[in-house]
Amino acid sequence: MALYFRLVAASIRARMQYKLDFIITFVLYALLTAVDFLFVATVLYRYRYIMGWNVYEVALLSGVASSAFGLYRTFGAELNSFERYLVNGDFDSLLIRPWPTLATLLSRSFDMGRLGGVGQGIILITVGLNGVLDAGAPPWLAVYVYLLPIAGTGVIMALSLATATAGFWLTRIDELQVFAIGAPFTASTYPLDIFPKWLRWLFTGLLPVATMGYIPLRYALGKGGTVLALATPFAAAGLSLLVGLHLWRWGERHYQSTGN
Amino acid sequence: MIRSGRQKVQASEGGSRLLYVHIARTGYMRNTAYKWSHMVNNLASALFGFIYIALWQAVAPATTGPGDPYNRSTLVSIMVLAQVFAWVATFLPAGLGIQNAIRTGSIALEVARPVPYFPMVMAREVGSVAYQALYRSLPLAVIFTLTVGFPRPASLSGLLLTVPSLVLASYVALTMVYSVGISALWTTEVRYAHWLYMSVSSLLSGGWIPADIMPGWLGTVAPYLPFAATQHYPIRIYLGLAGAEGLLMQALWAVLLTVWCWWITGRAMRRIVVQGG
Repeated sequence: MALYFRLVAASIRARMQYKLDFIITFVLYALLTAVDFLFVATVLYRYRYIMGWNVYEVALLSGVASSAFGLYRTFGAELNSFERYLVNGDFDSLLIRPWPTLATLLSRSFDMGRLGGVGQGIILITVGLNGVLDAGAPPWLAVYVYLLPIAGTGVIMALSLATATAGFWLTRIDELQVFAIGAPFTASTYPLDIFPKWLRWLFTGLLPVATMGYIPLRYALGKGGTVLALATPFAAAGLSLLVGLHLWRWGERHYQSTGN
Repeated sequence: MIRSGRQKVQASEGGSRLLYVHIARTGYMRNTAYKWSHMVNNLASALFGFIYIALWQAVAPATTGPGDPYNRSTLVSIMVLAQVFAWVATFLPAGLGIQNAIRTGSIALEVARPVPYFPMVMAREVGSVAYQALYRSLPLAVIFTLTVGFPRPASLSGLLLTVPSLVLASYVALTMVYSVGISALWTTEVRYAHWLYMSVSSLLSGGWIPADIMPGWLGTVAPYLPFAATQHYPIRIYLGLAGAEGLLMQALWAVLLTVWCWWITGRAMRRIVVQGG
């Protein structure tokens, strides 16, 4: 673990040699994720509510999702571009290192600019929180909601691990990532109530992004569920990461190099 | 004709036309290598479609007053069409790959060919768009037909007008993405410009939110922007919400953007600095 953090620090120092690039990427990511929220804000501007959720409540959902996704893209940058390792045979070079392949892979690069998405998400959460606290939401939400992106990052990271594992057989996984990460991320920015039953099952069970924000926030905002809902994101993150890690180790044993 | 080089190709107009057909065919063939990978992406694209359909079904009223065409069923139809049309008019390769040619230095060979650069890139991408229509839009249309149902055209004339409208939509989108790609001659990197283009174009294209229901002044301006030419008008024409005037708006942007692309290409060709190769 100490080695991992040393590699993290080295990678951050390397990235920060290009300060202007970092600033541009940071600002652009913040703007681009804000454009995503503009879409749902436009819908809310016209209809005021999405299944009983107002703009502040939806801002909380979107903020949690954006921050979690931003954190995943920052710390899981290499996992997200894992297809490159499989197609070019670069995974071979990770196998000959004396450390676990996943730790080596994750510590190779940190996309610091993606923190712009995290920043935008935090702003959304803060604005949404302001609105829901004024409307009578419990005060503890002001601390609790900022923990949700951390659990959410675990869920997305686990989905990414599962997708990367599939790559040990399929080699090309970029398109699969759109299905397993991109679409569920979009879905997590809306209240789960809008979806038909089969999609609700999909986003709660197989691709459990509803646990990132919707399930705990539904309880916190007095829209249903039990107090157990507050533990759901952390339990889901832990469990899915465990499954993801097992899948990775299993898949790794079946890796066949494309040569390099 | 094609293999015989510069002199023969230039010998006749017919030769040039054949050359463009050949380039388009190579653009089509290049994509067929990833057919199965694209089929997986079609499932993701369908999933996105179901998400947006669910959203509009949740918020839009079943019926609306006079002058407001956006009831639940119309909005669901718009989402289905947007997802299907997007593969020929929105989801195009970043910068049409021009930035890669600049980075590797192969741009030098491409501009040395006996055909002007802009129409050559367009011809290549026409082939890619034809592939996307066949292997992406069509399977998606089948998925939606089997699940939520594919919307029927409002009339035969609407259906007939949709064909040139989609051609114009695709062309306008290609010219905009071409502009992003050619900007690499000044900036080398188009990643950021592409992200910005994709975000703004997805929001203002009128595909996932009808351009005229955007809030305030944006709703007034959006239908007249080039982004609306890519989704807003083809969808409206298909559903009978617009007629030939929609086609006219698209044609206007097609002409303006063609002039812009020729001009910017001329400027860009004087700036070529080969990075590698």
